[in-house]
Amino acid sequence: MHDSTKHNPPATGWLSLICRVLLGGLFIFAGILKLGKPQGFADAIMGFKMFDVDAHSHIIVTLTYVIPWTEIVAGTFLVLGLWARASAAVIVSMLTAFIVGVISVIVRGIDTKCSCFGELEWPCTGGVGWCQVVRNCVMIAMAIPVFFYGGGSLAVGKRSAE
Amino acid sequence: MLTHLGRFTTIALVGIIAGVTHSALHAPLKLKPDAPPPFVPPTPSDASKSQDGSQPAAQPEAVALGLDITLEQAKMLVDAGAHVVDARAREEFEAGHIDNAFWLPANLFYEGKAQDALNFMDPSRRIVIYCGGGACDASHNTAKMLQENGFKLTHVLTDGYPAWAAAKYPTATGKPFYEN
Repeated sequence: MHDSTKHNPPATGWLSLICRVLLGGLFIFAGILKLGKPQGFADAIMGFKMFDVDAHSHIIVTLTYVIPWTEIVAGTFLVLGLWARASAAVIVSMLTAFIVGVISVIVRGIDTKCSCFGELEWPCTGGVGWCQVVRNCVMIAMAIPVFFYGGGSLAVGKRSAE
Repeated sequence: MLTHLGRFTTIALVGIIAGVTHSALHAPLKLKPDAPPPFVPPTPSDASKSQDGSQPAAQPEAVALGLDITLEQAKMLVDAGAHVVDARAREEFEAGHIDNAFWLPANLFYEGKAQDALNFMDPSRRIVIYCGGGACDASHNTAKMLQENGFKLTHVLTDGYPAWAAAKYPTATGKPFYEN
């Protein structure tokens, strides 16, 4: 992995900054929207039909809060540029899990809503579909510069070899 | 110094601990709508007495209708004066809905916009909720939200609007009646 503290040209530093602030900000925003309407997000999780409501209600309730909180924590670390690579890895892991979930819904022909951004589904309107897969891939792409160049400019963790 | 894996784990653990703590402190979520009490078919006023007019007719027996009901049961409830609620997307509603249906997808409750329709609804009446049928969850989500708002007598037409329309029962198009 590229050592962000020694050889980063200014352009890559600013690219990392823009990507991490945008991606981290999106995750903080998404987490806050979900925590604002936990019932709506719980309904969305159940809509994916990955857990039996009777047998695994505790998993559904736990995920309803753990997913948005993890988004907020990882997003905050990323925006600050503190442990930027690790927080980007957390976000990429979540996005990958979301993509798997969305594709499984598409394959099973389930008609449900994503609630990825609470009730705001921009730019994907309607039910779960390929638009959400593309949107998540775009967000994964935004994490790549952070992986390669670390937190970049104005990162809190820059001095600690990120 | 923590490794990248250690940092990854730390960030994930902070999120998990915060989420688990929040879920323990928050009011319980409603994952399933409750089953309504048995339905007693109304007695027509002109049949409330026996033929000689001296004895009241026998009370009809209560019918145990579950949360999920068939097309025939939904038709019986609608004929007996039940409210009808459409839980689908707006464009689907406007393209065709059960006659006199309210438009109430669950997201209207989440967004605090359900009151426009609830003002026209009587909590003491049965409510038949439907969506697109099949694997559609929207009607169960709306049932939960209606119950949270004091409308306990909710039923879900399992086969949804396609079955109602195929049976050629009364339908309408356009905006909800209370928005005109």
